[in-house]
Amino acid sequence: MGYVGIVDFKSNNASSVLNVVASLGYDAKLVKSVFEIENSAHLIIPGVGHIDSLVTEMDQLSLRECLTTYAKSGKSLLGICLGQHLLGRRSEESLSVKTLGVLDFEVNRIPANLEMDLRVPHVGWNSVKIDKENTIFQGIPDQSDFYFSHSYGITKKCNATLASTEHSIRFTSVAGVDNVYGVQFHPEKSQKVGRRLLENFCRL
Amino acid sequence: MLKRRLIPKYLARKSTSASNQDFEVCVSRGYSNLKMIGSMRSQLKICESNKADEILIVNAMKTCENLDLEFVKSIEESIRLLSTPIIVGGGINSLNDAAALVGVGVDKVVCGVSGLNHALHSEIANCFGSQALSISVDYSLADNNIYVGYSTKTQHDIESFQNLIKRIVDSGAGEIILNRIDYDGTKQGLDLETLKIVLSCVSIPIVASSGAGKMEHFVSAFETGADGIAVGTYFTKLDQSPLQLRSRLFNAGVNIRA
Repeated sequence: MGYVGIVDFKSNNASSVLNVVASLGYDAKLVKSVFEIENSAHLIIPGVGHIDSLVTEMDQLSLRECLTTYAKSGKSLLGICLGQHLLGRRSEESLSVKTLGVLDFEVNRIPANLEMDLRVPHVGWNSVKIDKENTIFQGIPDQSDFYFSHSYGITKKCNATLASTEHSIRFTSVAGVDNVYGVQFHPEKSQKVGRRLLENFCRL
Repeated sequence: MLKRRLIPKYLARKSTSASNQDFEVCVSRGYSNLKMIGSMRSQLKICESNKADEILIVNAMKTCENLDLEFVKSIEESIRLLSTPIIVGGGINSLNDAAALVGVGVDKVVCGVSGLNHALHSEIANCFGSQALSISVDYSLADNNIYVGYSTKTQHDIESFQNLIKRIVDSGAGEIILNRIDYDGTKQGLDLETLKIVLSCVSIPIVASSGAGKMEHFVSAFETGADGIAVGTYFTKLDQSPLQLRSRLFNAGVNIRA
């Protein structure tokens, strides 16, 4: 069995994901070259930060084509937080940058609702409602709490929705089609349920 | 629904013992009189097993100078086996400092407001996103004025204080840690009046810090609208289990992970 590649963009939390995946007993490796990405058995694109910085860095490293190819290869791909946004068609955070478009969704700003004390950024633990059964949720109870930290998300209706979460509005917290997944929360920071989700992914 | 957060907070310093040069974590009173709780590594593990929602660590060694690389190394080693979100501050004076912490797995960096370095705050927010930048507003009250800062204090009335808070948000902060210095370690309750003033003028999450001494203090601060409460002394000096506090808060109607 090959390694789990974790794309090592500079503005990002790749090390946390690496540590958790390694502690689950998988061969995990930070990757940033076409060769290393192509040879990953599973690939995770983590991400914190601004979509602008992420896309700029991706293009500087000339990884656009190889990430798109990877998504179409049938091997398993997981985008986390900003890594999820990268998989979509576009992001309101920066409409001028071109995201990968391997999943059919767009990313918009999460609205605040101060009357309900719902502030933005949406930071903290929130429950994830499973809308469509999938092996990625195996062993994870419906409505489990995961850790979120973001201001943008998939707020519009989306055919790829597997799970959703509410903060002012209901947004897609897990999107997935075939072998390609995107999660808005940080499984690497979500204690027990987060580890389980990463383990489910690595087992795909 | 988004859960309210309980955030253990510690000051970190290099161990004073000759045999062990690792970092240890402390609680304090008025951000001095440090009392050692344990090694950073073991204490953070305990926090995770107690379901801490996030953990806040501030380096007490060199707060206003440069980022301490030994501290970064120690953070890296301490959080390697954790999957709990970590907020770290102390000595962040450049984008590179913030990058060093994010690079080892820190989720949010905390900058003080005393330097009022809005340009740096914007740089950090632009690179890592607002959600990765918390600004700690360290203040005390006297004669109807709000004094912001530790050694160099700036005096504010309510209006100028609110303007300061708005400027912090404009510079890109994703969260404010509202930290009443003179309440730290006193267990007399959180400063709800200032919390209200801040909540009313911005829409980002606010973490209330310093003064929590009993269950009711948590309930009232959450009811006032705090997204999180940073807790030092309460968890360590009193005979209080964080898990027990969670279930009591849950039973009192607070939306929290029990």
